[in-house]
Amino acid sequence: MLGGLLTFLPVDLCRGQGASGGCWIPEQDTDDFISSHNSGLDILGGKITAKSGFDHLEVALNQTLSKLSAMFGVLPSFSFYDEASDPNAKAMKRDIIANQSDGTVLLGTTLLQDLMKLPAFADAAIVAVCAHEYGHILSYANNTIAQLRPKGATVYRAEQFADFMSGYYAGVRKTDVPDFPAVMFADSTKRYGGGEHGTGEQRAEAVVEGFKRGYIAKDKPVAAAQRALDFALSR
Amino acid sequence: MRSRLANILLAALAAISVVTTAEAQVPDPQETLETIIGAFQKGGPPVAYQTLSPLVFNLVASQTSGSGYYPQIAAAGPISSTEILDSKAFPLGPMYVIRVTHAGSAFASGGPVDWFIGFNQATGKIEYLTFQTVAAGSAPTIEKGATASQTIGGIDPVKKLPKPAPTDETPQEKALRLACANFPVMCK
Repeated sequence: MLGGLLTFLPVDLCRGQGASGGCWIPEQDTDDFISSHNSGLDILGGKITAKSGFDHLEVALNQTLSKLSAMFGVLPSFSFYDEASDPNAKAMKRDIIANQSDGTVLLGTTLLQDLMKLPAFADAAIVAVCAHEYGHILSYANNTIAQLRPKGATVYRAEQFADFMSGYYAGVRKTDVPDFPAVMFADSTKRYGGGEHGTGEQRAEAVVEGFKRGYIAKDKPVAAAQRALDFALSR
Repeated sequence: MRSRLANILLAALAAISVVTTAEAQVPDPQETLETIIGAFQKGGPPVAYQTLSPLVFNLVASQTSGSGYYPQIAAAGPISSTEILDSKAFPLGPMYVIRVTHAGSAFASGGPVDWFIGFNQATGKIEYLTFQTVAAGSAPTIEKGATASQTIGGIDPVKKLPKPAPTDETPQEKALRLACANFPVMCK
């Protein structure tokens, strides 16, 4: 089940708030984040790790991340990190792992463990988190982050953009695979409302609107990203 | 009293309408029974009747001419103890047989009283309520059912209670059903 679904799905949670106030890390905060989570960039020996602890998950997750990269046109490094008591996922513009791509996505192992305990569709929830983070990466890559979060603004619009793109991914996947559980993206995202991410309802609404662009309107990714930007800026 | 009960019924219906996808908590059966017996003995307080389903509420109102007061139950005196004799889960919710001992004089035949009380797990309301005097011999069971002539809202729990969602629903099916109820556009 895990392998099958993760091949299809994306999810997003991004529940906790770091010092930057969001689940994406502004460039100016990246050094602080690295120093607090990864002593000397010793990636495998520090708090950032290449292993999730769920071997059966990683193969399927790799396939899903490949789909996300292809759909969003971005290629971030992806790894796991020990976020301890603050279950979360992070996206940052700088590639702190391979120094070759469109930034870094880190999925917290505590968050991952929490999601794996869900009674149903844990895989969908995990992919939704990843899709949300890849949405942030897209906002770096297409330079819309400056509009989404101008200096002094909260992260709310940037999060709405990421939620919208997560829903878009779900919509496209459901187009390809009719029984794809896209609805679980909205359902799982709604559970993680609060703070500057917006309420659960606001987050779910963004996911649903993105889903419509992927599943009903059949938008291409670039058009969907523009819709996501318009939607987020209207919030 | 009639209008007061009607107001309570409206409040109860409003509360039921709020219960949609989330399953309500079934209240403690002994505590709930003690509360409703106390209300039957005094004709109030009104909030106690909100534990009744609309059907049972209407039956109580009908049987007591809108007062919510049962003289024969009041004659039994305060409750001194309760004991669950039997319980069983039905598709609609759990059913209990609870033996109630009163401090005062008992019902017509004397001694404790056995109550049958059933809950709707979706609303947390009492869907079935009846009592009988304790008969000599074997203890009452849900399988055998209530046999007393004195009943309040008697509904056969086995034969007549409607069946809600199928019990063999998998966690995945349940998750999808609830999520699709919230986000129907994503399930078309």
